[in-house]
Amino acid sequence: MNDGTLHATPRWREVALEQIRFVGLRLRREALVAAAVVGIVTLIIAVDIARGSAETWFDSDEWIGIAFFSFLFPFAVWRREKRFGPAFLWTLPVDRRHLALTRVLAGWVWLMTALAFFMAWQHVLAILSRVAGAEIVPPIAIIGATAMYLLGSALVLGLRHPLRWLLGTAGVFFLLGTLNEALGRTTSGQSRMFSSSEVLRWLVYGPYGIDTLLSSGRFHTAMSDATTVWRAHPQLAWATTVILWLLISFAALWAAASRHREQR
Amino acid sequence: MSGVPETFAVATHGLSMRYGRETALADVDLRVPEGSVYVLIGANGAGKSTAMKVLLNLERPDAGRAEVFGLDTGAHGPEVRAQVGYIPESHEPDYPWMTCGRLLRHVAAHYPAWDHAYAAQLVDVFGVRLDRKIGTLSKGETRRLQFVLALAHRPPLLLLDEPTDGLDPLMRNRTLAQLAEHLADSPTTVMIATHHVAEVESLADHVGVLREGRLVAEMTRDDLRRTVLRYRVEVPEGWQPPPELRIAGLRRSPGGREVQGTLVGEESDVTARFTAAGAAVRDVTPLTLEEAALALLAEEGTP
Amino acid sequence: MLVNLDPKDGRPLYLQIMDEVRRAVVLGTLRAEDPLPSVRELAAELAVNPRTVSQAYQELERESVIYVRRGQGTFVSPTVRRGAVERRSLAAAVAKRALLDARRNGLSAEELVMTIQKLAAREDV
Repeated sequence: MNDGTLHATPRWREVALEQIRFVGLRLRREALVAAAVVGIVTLIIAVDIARGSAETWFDSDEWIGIAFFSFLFPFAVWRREKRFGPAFLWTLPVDRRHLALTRVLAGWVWLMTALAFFMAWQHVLAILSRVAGAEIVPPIAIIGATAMYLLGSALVLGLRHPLRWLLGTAGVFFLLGTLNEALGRTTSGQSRMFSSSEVLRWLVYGPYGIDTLLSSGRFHTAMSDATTVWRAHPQLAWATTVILWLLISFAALWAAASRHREQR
Repeated sequence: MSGVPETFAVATHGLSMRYGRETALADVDLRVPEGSVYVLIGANGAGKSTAMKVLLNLERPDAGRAEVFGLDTGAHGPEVRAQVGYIPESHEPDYPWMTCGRLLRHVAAHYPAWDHAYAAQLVDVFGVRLDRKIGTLSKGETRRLQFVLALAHRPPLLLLDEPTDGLDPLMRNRTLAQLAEHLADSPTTVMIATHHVAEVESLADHVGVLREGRLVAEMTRDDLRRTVLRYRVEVPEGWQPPPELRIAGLRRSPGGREVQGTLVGEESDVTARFTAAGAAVRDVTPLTLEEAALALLAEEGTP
Repeated sequence: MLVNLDPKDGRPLYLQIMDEVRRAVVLGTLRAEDPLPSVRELAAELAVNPRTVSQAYQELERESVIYVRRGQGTFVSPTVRRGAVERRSLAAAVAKRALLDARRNGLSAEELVMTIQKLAAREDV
């Protein structure tokens, strides 16, 4: 080097802050759309509150919505961002795996912001509606949401065409389901193909399912297998489920990010 | 100039890369001395761009390795990239929804060496409008923005892939002039991959020629000027050039008694070899960089 | 001072620059104590690597054609002369080019010299 000193690589703090700002900028349009939707829904609920018929809004916690939202959030964060091939991201003087994970972190910060707003909004409306025993999503659900977000991020980061995979898998599930329905009727118990709807059900309502993950120990009665298995220890159920999902989602994310690591 | 050994900004060792059936690089040993303006010439193919991408660790070669300022590009990707200002071949803007100003701030945050005052100056010189959305920029405007992004942190190494592509002649001139000024202010090594060879004629002081993935020639511009010459030669009728006289672009006059072609070598040497082969050298002319490049790219049977 | 570089010239760029400066001195467009463009300016004007301009200036300084005034720039040497030596070297360069051209066109040196004298004698050339 001419003067003996090399230019420094940026400090992680600077990169993280800029990535958070960047993702915030990126999601501005989506945020506006969401705000509009929330605005409309608020009006509708307000009307119902005035009429005194607001109970329907508060008789189940919207956990499945949160799960979906968190899982699909990364699709918005990474929309139109080249991840494969000579992408702009990889020309930056930052370790590529770290940069990918930092972007995921930045998205997570905004997800938490969005969920915080949502929960606050729900809470306020619940109070205003004066509905007895209003069910709202508990704050602890953000841990479950995080796991779903990490899984979604793993999908987007690790696959070139995550949407195709998603729709493709859903399509396969649907096909298997209908196929199995048809076959299940003709054969008796024994050679029953594994039912895709059963898998789905187990995934959502099973002992370690999404229901458990986001419900923080409160279960949908009558539908959940988890109720029978964990009735005595709902907190333990939840803790186990959370740890399981977090481990899996972190592992998946790490694998996905490693796809972009610096090749030595 | 003095007896001090040169350090190399870029050094590749046996770099090889294939894309399916296409050979982009074949056992390439590049040497780009520090502070030089090195022009990499080659036909329209993946080779030149691939070499640059390997340096940035955007691609991993099939064989061989590369070093930038002594740092292995695979083992120290981020450190290497911190020393580099890169203009890719493509004009496709990466964040079309962003404004130019915002992108500048975004990139600046990742380069501690970013010079904000200089960036503002560059924005002025290149006529970049900070409030324009990147997606609305023309090819030329995108290229000018890319120049600002590449130069603003005064990187010790500039990798420019077809930098003047998409620019109108006036802007091309201004860009090259600005590049020269930039070189005067900051000690920089420049590597330009281009086939608009004529433009970089005066800026280049080192030349490398890639043909079918092989580095067939690498020398200083002065050496090239001195040793790649066009000879006009008087020959007896029916004269055939002997195999050891490798003549590129051989042309014969209608009568068959005059022959013209380009050869590589010291003038005295080549003249002697012509005489030994029964031909008389009438005229020796130097070539422009473009003509020399054409000759080197067309030459047959080079080892 | 106007500098033009010829891409077809087989000599290194720094030599061409040096010759252009010397030519300007001989012609009188550059006089003693006249300022020269800075390395930066000339490099930008010619789109040339500044190191090449530096090299040319250093060599010219070595030959005492120009000198550097601290903090003020580069100037033509006060002792430079539009003398016979410079004129002779300029003439040599012109003559060499003419001879080369002549040879390429199959003309001998004598033919060239005779034709030059004839043309020079005419008023309208």
